[in-house]
Amino acid sequence: MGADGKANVYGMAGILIAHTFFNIPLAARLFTAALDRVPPSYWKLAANLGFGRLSLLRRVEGPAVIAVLPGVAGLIFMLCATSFTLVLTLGGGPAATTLEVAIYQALKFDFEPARAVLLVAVQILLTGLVLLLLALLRSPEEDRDQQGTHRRRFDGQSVAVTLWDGAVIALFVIFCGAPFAAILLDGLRADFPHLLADPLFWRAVSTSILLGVAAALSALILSWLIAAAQLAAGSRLYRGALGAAGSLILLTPPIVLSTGWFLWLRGGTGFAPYGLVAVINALMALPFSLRVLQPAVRSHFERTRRLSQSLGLTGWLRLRIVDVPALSRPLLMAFFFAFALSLGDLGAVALFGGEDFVTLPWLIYARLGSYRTTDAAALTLILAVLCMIFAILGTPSEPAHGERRR
Amino acid sequence: MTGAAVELSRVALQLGAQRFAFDLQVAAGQFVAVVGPSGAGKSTLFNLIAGFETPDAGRLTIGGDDMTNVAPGKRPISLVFQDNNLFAHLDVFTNVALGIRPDLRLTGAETAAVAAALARVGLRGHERRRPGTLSGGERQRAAFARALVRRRPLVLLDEPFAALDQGFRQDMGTLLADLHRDEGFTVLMITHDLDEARSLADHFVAIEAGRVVRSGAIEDIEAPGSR
Repeated sequence: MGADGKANVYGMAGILIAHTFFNIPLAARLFTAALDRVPPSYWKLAANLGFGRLSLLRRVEGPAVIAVLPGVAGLIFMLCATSFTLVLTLGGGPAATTLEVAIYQALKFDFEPARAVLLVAVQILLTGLVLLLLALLRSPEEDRDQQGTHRRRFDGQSVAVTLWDGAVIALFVIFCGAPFAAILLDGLRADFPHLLADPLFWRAVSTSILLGVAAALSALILSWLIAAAQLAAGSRLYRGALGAAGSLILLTPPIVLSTGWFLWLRGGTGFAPYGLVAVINALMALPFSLRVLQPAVRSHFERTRRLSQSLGLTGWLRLRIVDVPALSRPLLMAFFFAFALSLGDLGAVALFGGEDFVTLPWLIYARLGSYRTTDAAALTLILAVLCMIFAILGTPSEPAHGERRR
Repeated sequence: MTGAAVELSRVALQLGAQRFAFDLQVAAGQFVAVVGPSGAGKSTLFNLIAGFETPDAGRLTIGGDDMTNVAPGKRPISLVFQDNNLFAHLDVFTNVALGIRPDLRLTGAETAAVAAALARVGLRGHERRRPGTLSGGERQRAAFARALVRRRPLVLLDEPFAALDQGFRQDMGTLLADLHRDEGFTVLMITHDLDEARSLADHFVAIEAGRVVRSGAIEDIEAPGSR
């Protein structure tokens, strides 16, 4: 996008392009997972029957992808409908806005709490409706247990097929990589010594890191408690309620939560806004950290529950000697993921941010607002590198901790 | 160390649709093979004795002491399961040491006891190995070493050799018989292998449909007309 420097990325078109940009990798990931779940014998059978590209698509790949299509579509719809940051930065006017940006503007600029509350109610109603519909569909990310198993495909061996696949992948890499290239080019042109000398920058960095650590720790503790409680829960209803609690943030997006607190605290000063933003960031990370921790916690407890009990390992002792060391990988993964998420978040901080409360994303937004785009690009570069490092640390890799069982 | 007697009198438990009711007396120092078809309640019996299940009614004593309100870790019991006896993230020495002190604050004498127990089961030099790098037989040996250092008068073995190759089973059986003779603890062992039961145990208990149907000296394990 914007390769010729003339395409307008503001307004509806820009928002759509940006959403496409963000959601193609997600969709690709979910569809790949769906294809990975196809039994390996299907591929062998297809090769044996001499299926061409079209029959393979019709008989094998199609059914697998279509099964998860509604779930994936719903999830992406949800992500777009509740997107705040994108619309805030690219919206450029009332012609292209979402409920969340309207809520934000009602509070921050027009100061009409009544209108904000009304909009919040509409937002919760809408997301609730969509979530209800989604609950009826199967979640596309469920049972992703055989991650990292390698499937052998027999149809990708001719040169023509390899070229075609390579071309498709290259096209999407260019599409998804272009913004990064733009950030890199623009960012490196910035006056780094000047930028790094700015005390506001360092305040933003330290605030961001502090918030990130607090949010990540809270997310970790919350998801641990939820996962453990789900194992101990007797009734299915209670278990379901616990799981839903972990996804509460999907019903009430960050901006909605902060609206409530903003109104209650009347803008808020002192320590309270920091705590709130950390809590909201933690809640945002919760659905993801829970997804990482839950299966690990379940299999860990199944393996060690009786053994720990019989040795009299309980409470803190058990946490210190058994649980934390054995689950260090998923725990670290969840931590870094939540940390990266909080580091890059603008949604929760948007309302509370100001001269006294600066985070990196907020600073970028402020610089963009005052047309210091090179500074903004440099800051974005720094933030992107930081986020990427922590996101990579938080990306599930092959479970090396799954030791041989016999 | 001497063994402890085990007594269950009308110990009842309801799990879903299945009812269990156990009456059982085991004298101190016996080696009892627990046999019966799958799903008959052998593991449930062990769970009751070890404290993982709380009986709805009845009385359970070990060494004459009532176990009703005693936590699993406080009961005079060492356990060896079929697998998952060791924490995979801790080395062999630490896994055995946990049997003496869960907080791992060992005295010099206790450290020596762990080393001696590892030597006794033939794992000298394997102290710093992780369970994942050991063979199945070596892992079970480490579990036995932990049972040794715990010095509890009752040892519950839930198919301890089921995951092992035939050759290993012989070795492990010999080791277990030696340990039982030297230490004198009471042993209850679940097994599906009647030959194994005959060669190791001196008594047997047969369980079917949630209750003890027969028991006695090991010679009578295959009474005429029963399976």
